[in-house]
Amino acid sequence: MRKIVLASHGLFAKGIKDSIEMICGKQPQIQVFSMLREDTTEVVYSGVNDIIENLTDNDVLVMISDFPGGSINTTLMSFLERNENIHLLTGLNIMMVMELVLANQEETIESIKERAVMSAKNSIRDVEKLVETEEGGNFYD
Amino acid sequence: MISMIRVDDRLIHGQVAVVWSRFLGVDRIVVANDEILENKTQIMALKMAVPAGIKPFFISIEDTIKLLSNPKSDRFKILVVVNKPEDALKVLKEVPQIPLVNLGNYGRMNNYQNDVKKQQLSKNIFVTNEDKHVLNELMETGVKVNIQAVPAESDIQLKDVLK
Repeated sequence: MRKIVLASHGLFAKGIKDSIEMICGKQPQIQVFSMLREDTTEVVYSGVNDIIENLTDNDVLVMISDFPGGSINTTLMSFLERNENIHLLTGLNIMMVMELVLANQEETIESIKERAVMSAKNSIRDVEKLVETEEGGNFYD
Repeated sequence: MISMIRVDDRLIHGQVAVVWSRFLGVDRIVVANDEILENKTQIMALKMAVPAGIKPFFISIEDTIKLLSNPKSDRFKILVVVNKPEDALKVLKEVPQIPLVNLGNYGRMNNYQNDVKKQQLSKNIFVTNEDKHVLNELMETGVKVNIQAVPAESDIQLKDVLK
């Protein structure tokens, strides 16, 4: 099974899960760790550690941290060496999570991760500068 | 090949553009709507919602019928999106080989019509008496009509809730 962990400073991770469920329906495979002001990264470390210890050989875990260089990402990086079924993306955003949630079970995790990162980047736009690339495009092309 | 007609007040948005299109594996989304054609900003906004690899088209109901009736369209997987049941009925009458009409979000805004409260069929579907006539006509064509916002939710058959 494919499991997803979202982790952030503050309520961002929790909020993204709420947004994703509003658009895509319930997602029980997503667990969130929102580190609050009174917490330390230990909250994230021990929570994710529990999940990892309970992974079976068929499980794949994709963790997403809020931004590169933050202490959440640093904490999660330490899990990468545990086993090859653990993955880490950073730069959490809606499109990134949506790609993971909607991916087919058959697709390889490498290809899903690649698309998640691409979609996340493509979703960041200056709307005024959006060029209409497909204006009047031919249906049959 | 037409995967389904989606009835949705908001036409293309996250549930339609990303969730359904991925679920159905479509490569074309046809928004069939006579009013939106003049509104370039709205078209632009809706286009933004569509992921890479899927081409969106915004055309009139009449042009939609022509397009879907063209045998050249058979090699594409097409999701048709309309914002009211009448438009789904117009398309269906001329293009009979459509497997499913899916009601996603409809009628929640303006919940009162001439001071009469609309009937709620599900969490996201609210209908007037006129809508009910159209929906009955839709079902009489023999097409399957369901209510389902996203594939992760269980679907409700319209015939079970439309009284």
